[in-house]
Amino acid sequence: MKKSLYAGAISPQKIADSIAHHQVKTNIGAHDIFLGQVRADEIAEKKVVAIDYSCYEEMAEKVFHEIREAAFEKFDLTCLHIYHSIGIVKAGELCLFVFTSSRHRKMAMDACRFIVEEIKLKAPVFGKEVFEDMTHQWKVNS
Amino acid sequence: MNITILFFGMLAEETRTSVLELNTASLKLRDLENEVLNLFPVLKKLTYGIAVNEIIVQSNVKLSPGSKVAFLPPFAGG
Repeated sequence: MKKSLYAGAISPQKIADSIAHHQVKTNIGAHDIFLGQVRADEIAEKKVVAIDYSCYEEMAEKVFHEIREAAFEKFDLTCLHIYHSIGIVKAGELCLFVFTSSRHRKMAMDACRFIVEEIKLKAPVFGKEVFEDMTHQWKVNS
Repeated sequence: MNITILFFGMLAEETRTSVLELNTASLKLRDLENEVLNLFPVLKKLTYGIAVNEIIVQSNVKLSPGSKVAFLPPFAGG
C-alpha cells in the first residue's frame, strides 16, 4: 500500500520534483495540484505559530488508500499522489499535497477537489494549534 | 474478553491515556462505550466518533476478543 503520511512539512522542492517526474508520462495532458498551508490564525489575541498533526496511523493509511481507489474508480486518472504531514508544520509551510494527472483538465480538476473534500471528511488526522506562548488548542475542520 | 481501547488527539490529552487494554464483559459497543465513559467521565463533555477495527461505526456492533475500539476527536486533516 502506498503511504500518504509524511513526516513534517512538505517542501516546495518535493512538489517541483514530483512535477518533474511526470514529464516522461506523455499521455498526461493535465495536472491539478492542491496544497494545504498552515495559517497563522489569531485566536483570542494569540497567534498560531504551528500545527502539530497526529493521526490514527493504521486507519489513516487505510482511509487514504480507499480515497485513492475511489478516485481512480470515479475519474479517468493517469496518476495520483496524496501526501499529508504528520508532526509539526509551521505557519506558512505546507501540510497537504494532492496531485492528480489525467489526459484532460476536467478529470484532473474534479478528482483533485473530490480527494481534498474526502480527506477533510474521512481522514483520522488531528491538529494541535500551537500558539507563540506554547499553549495550544485543538483544531476542528469547518 | 480483552479489548484494546485507543484515544487520540484531544481525547488522549483529556484522559491522559492513549492505549488501554480492557478486560470487559461488554459484548456490544454501547455497553463498552458506557464502561469507558464511567472510567473517563471527562469524555462525556467531549465530541467523539468511534472506530472499531479501523472502521467508523454508528451502530451498536458486536465486539470480538481483540477488537480495537478507537475514540476519535473531530478530524482536522488537510
